[in-house]
Amino acid sequence: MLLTIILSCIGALFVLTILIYLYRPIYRPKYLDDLYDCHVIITGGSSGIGKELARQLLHEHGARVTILARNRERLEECRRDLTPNSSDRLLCLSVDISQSYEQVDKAVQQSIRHHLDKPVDILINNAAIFFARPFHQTKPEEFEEMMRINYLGSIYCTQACLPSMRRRGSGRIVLLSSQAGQLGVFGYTSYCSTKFALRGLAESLQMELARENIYITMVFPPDTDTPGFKEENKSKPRETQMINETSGVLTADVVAKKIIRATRQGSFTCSYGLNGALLTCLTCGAQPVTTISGIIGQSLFTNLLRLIMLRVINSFYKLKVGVISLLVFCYGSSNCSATPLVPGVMVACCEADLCNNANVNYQVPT
Amino acid sequence: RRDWMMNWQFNWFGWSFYLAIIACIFHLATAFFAGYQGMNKYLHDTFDYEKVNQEIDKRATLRDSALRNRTPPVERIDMWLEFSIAITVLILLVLAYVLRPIYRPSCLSDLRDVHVVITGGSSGIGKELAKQLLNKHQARVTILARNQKRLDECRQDLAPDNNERLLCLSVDISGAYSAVQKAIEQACQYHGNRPVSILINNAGVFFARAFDETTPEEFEQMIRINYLGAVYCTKACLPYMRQLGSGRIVLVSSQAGQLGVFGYTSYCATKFALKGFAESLQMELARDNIYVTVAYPPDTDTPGLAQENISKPIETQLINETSGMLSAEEVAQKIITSTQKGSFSCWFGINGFLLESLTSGAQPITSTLELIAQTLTIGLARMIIVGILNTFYGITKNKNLKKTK
Repeated sequence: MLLTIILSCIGALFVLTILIYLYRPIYRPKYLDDLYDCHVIITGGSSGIGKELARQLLHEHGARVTILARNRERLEECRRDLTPNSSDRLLCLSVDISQSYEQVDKAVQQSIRHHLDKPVDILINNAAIFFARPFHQTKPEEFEEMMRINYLGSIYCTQACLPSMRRRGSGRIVLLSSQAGQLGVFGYTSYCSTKFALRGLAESLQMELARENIYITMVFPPDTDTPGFKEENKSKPRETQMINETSGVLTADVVAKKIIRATRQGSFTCSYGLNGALLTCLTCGAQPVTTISGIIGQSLFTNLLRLIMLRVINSFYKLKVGVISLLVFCYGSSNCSATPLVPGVMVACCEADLCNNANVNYQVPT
Repeated sequence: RRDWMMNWQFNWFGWSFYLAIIACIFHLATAFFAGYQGMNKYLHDTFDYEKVNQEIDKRATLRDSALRNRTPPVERIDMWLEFSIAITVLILLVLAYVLRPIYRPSCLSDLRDVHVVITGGSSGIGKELAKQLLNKHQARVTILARNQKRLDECRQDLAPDNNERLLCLSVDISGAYSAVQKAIEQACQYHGNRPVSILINNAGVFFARAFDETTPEEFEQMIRINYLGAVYCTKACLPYMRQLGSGRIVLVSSQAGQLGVFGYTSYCATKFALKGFAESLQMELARDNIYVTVAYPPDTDTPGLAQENISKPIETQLINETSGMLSAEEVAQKIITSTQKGSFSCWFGINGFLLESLTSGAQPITSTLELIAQTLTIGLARMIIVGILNTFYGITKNKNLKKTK
């Protein structure tokens, strides 16, 4: 009896070791312990998440930061804000990264020269525009502009920084996507496509750069409290607002801190909160993983998450179709339904009577 | 293979998981042992005769009464079985109701005289689609493409008797939106003022090249034709579909739009963009009875593929050899069937099915069968794809060694 138990334990351990070998993480990035004097380039760093990243990298880690942005006044403000004593660790360059590759290349070369000929260590592609608008109200020029800035801008910056990263023999590239880059939402037809495109770029680029010790991180922040977000909220369609309220709003410094940590670890994805982790696990698709726990977690939970996500998607669609589901709790005159899915993840869906423009007010039960 | 052992770095999470499994196994073993030993100890140490005798008498009376009113064990087992079956069926029914497909497109079984617009339809998959739609379904087809010569050849091929069901227009869909709008208007007028029913966004360029060998202009050109072209055409056709009250939009993506592969940095990005576009567009158009389908064909035997093969990097070639090649006819047939059904995604073969369930993410479903199939295979597909990705990365790392040698 004892013998069979011991044999079965050994057998299970053996099978487990074989499985772990077969499914070992594909590449293992080295943890960047010391960011002191690291050359970091942040695009779109004059406000929002980029500015927070620059602030933390300058003050907490002592890195050398270059900020690329378009608007000169905001750059000046940012400079005065981050380095009141005009330190030379921060360089602010005004360049439009979506215009042409040559401009970006020149800016990167200038930055390398300024920072004592240090090759680029980390590139953070943060520059992006976003707005929410129904498809028929979005002009064709807006589609093109968004694709240029969000996607082509990142491509140009990455191409400009890669030669110096190769020379150095290591590097990190961060692509700021969004939770709208994991699932498609009403009103984000242009924005979702650009963020999905960044994901396709990251997956295939990582396959090319894995052998050169350059690792890509994709970040999926939810709504973040930035000037850009406030700007977007002015013209957001009501359906998009209702959908977005199911996930919270984060502050920029929380987002920036996690980005820096994920970049140092070199993990492929960076997500926020329980919602974010579940969404990343669900939409992992064919992404590479860098940890065993990642593989195990994803294989075990994706099935259940798919079911949960379908319920969530159903509730998003029901904003339009207006069908009352089985799990609807009606609060008084306003028809609202809130469906608890997992502890901590609440989806509130409202039956918006858009024909009569009825008053829509709902509460999220805690 | 000693390299993996030398590069082995457990992080604390991995260690704790591994240790937790070992701890569980040992815990079970020791618990069993402790229980056995503990019972023995109890019987030897705390032996109270009075209490034990009373206990024996009580249990004897219980046993006798049980023997008299004993129900045959077979019936009890049956009752539990029925109960559990009933509970399971009830749970499944509730799940099926709660997770039912949110929209159910009606199947367009009759495509006769339906106005279909196919972009990039002068060769490859688009031409096959046009051929099948014209000959098998007697639809009215408009082909939009750039190259006038290929358009003429295509016209001669598909409509030798100058069939008036086919219209070939030469327009660059990535150029200006007004040109696309004009072309669609012209097409609708030609086909007897029929609004567009089905739009198939098939136009796409593709080539495989390493990231540093791709020029920025090539990136821009690819995203313009593959993505912006599809957006412009969709935007131009939507008013007609709304007028008609129903419609189908097909976006021809690729299996490279489900996973990223070496050498396809520009192409993968554009095909992923189509997927994101489709997901958010479907949410907006569900109430208008217009349904979006995304097709993910693998390598298809077309002139475009022959062109691409000339300059493909060696790593991409090795990776592509792992999946097979389909003929344009099969691809076109499956696309037409999916469009008729209105399902959100169209996959090809078992590889396609696994990739589809793996990358389903937050996509909508249109049938309960799809739901069940996806839910059951995702976990397994994730493990399979990690193994496959390992081999792909191994191929790319190997080539580096060969080059340096």
